Amino acid sequence: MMTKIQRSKLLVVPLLLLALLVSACGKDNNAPSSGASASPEGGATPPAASAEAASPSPAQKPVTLEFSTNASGGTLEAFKEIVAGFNDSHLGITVELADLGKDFNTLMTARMANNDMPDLFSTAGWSVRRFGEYLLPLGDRAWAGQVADSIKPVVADSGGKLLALPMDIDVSGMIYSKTILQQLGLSVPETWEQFLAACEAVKKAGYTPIAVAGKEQSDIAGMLSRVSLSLLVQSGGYKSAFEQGSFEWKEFGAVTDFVLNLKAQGYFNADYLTADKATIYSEFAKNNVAFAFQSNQTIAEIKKLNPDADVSMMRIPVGDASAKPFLISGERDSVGVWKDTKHPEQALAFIDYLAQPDNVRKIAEAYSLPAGLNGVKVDLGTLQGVFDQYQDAPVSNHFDRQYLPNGMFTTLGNVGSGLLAGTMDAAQVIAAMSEDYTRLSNAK
Amino acid sequence: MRSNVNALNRSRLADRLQIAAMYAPAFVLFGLFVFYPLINGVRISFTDWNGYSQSYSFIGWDNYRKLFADSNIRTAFVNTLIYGVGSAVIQNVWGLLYALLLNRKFAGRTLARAAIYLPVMISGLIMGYIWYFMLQYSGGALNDLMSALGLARVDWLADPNRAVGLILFITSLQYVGQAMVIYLAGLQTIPQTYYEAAEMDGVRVWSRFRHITLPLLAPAIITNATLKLIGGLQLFDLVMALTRGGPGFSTHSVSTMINYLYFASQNAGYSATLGIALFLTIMTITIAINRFLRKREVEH
Repeated sequence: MMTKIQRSKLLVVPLLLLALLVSACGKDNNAPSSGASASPEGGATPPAASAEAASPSPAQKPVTLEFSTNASGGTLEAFKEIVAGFNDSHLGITVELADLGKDFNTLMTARMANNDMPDLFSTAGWSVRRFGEYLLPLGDRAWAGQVADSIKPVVADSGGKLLALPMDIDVSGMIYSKTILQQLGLSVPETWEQFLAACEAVKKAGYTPIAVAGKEQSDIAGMLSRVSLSLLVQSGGYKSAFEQGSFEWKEFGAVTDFVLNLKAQGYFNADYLTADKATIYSEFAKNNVAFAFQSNQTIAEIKKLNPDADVSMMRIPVGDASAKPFLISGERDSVGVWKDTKHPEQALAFIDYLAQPDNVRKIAEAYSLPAGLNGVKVDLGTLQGVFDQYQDAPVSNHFDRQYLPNGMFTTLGNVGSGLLAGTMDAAQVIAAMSEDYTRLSNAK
Repeated sequence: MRSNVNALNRSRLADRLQIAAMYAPAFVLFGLFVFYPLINGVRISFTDWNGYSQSYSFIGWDNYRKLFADSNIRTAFVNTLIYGVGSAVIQNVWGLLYALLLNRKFAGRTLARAAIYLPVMISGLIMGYIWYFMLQYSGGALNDLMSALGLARVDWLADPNRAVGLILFITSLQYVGQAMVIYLAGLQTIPQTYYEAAEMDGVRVWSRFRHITLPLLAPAIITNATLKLIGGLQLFDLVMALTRGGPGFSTHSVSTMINYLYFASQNAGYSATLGIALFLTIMTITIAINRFLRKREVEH
């Protein structure tokens, strides 16, 4: 008898474990999220305070929306503030902000693979080519007509469907130290010839002409992207070849030659292969570096280290005098709605709330960028004068986002890193670019 | 008589059911987290999937053919063998020396054991960043010290060979404490009587080590060699923190390359192929080492 009892008890333990495992692995789409608890009937009950205030009818159960973002620093803080404001003013809807940081791409890739996207998400520069098939068109929203002309083509698909709300416009060129240029009596270069002459003067004066954070391949990709845009599209005459997909990759040699020349002349920082971005910020803050192929976010980071550092934005130089130095105008903090969200009405309510002028301004001002919607006045701080000065400058979307298939920014970083490290020669770089262009263009 | 046989059969059936029920959770877990991903990985390795799209094509053996011709993959495999075999050898020799030393009684022994083991408790990523801050060219502790001594600064991680060597050294330094603890446990299972008998027979220290300690430590050596080899072959976090596989592709391990191919290069099919290749490599090396070392195991 005793043996039977013990045996049955022993059998119960693994079976219970198995049941627990199965129930834990089971996907419950109606599982209550944080802030709400399950009622015995299986419905969701809001926290006491909200329940009293909102008193939602049985037909209008509280809804929790997931909003995933890659925003960081001041932009993330601004998003948190906006989300808190929305949650306070929209009883029955709770937006949960998931700050994915550097894991954003990895996690979103996994979510896309499972076709299980957050209700709302930042499109991180790729609203059309990467996230387009997952986004709900937003052209019918009241604010859609206010989207600035310069960003509209970037956040709308080829059929003109608006896919994301652009909170700001990533206007950038290169950054430079006004202090060093003024000290050496140099003007801001407008052609690469002037740029190389300035680098030589800076080097002779004992400063570092160009800072590259080679540990982070995105920085090298940013350099190659800007140089490609200038030498191949703005000056080189290959714009239509890129648009038609008929670009001969051997012409990319102009870019590799240019970068190898900068290296041969000794214009890069000594640790160009291993420095991280924090090191570059620090060197700019100490007035040791003249130029970097980075965006305006760098200026904000430098100012945190040294508020008196006189660093500004310049247009990207061009290869010949017939072309005009230009700026990049791309997508930065844009937000879209998952087309298969279970709560489209509530998600659109949040998007509309985001589009309110005060909220757009908060995001745009976080990194001193122009607003993505017309009619929103943004304080651009010390960069106001530069934006005013360059308001008529030609603008282009980022090279990789406009002319290359999604995924090639990484290729640019890798071939650039290999080129600078000497582990790849120009021919290998060209072959790798060509191969990835074909592979990623053919990807479904 | 028949009722006795039936009772016996029922008892055997109940025993088998009980055993099966005991196995079930482990089988389910193993199937869910090991077997299913493995089978799925093999399937994906025959596709051109980009890692997120809802559709892809089967491309036969293309990824496997490409794998053998890819110089970056070759570099990653060579590095992985260096990280795996190199760190296994270094940690075993170093760990055994530490264990032999710290098996003796002396003041501060516990403190020394703790100090050597402490880095094991730090995540590889954090350890990588600590070392990055020590080695970096601008503001790095080592370079600042060299500057103070009037020596020229060195960009330690810029040279591919040196960077691979540093990664090997740092991972060995971090995990040598684990090897030491396993050897200490092994040393404490060896009966003192063997040493006393050998001493009485006038056997010298080296001979005692070679003919008593080493054979009786074989289980610990097998455990350490296997653990360290697998750990080294799967090295990921330290490489990411120190070099992110650069300059170029020169310090990538196969694990970091898998990550790069899947998430950055959007080449999930190829990434899965590399994952299968790594799985087969680790399995082959581990089985070979285990067979080799088991023959040398001695019971006491």
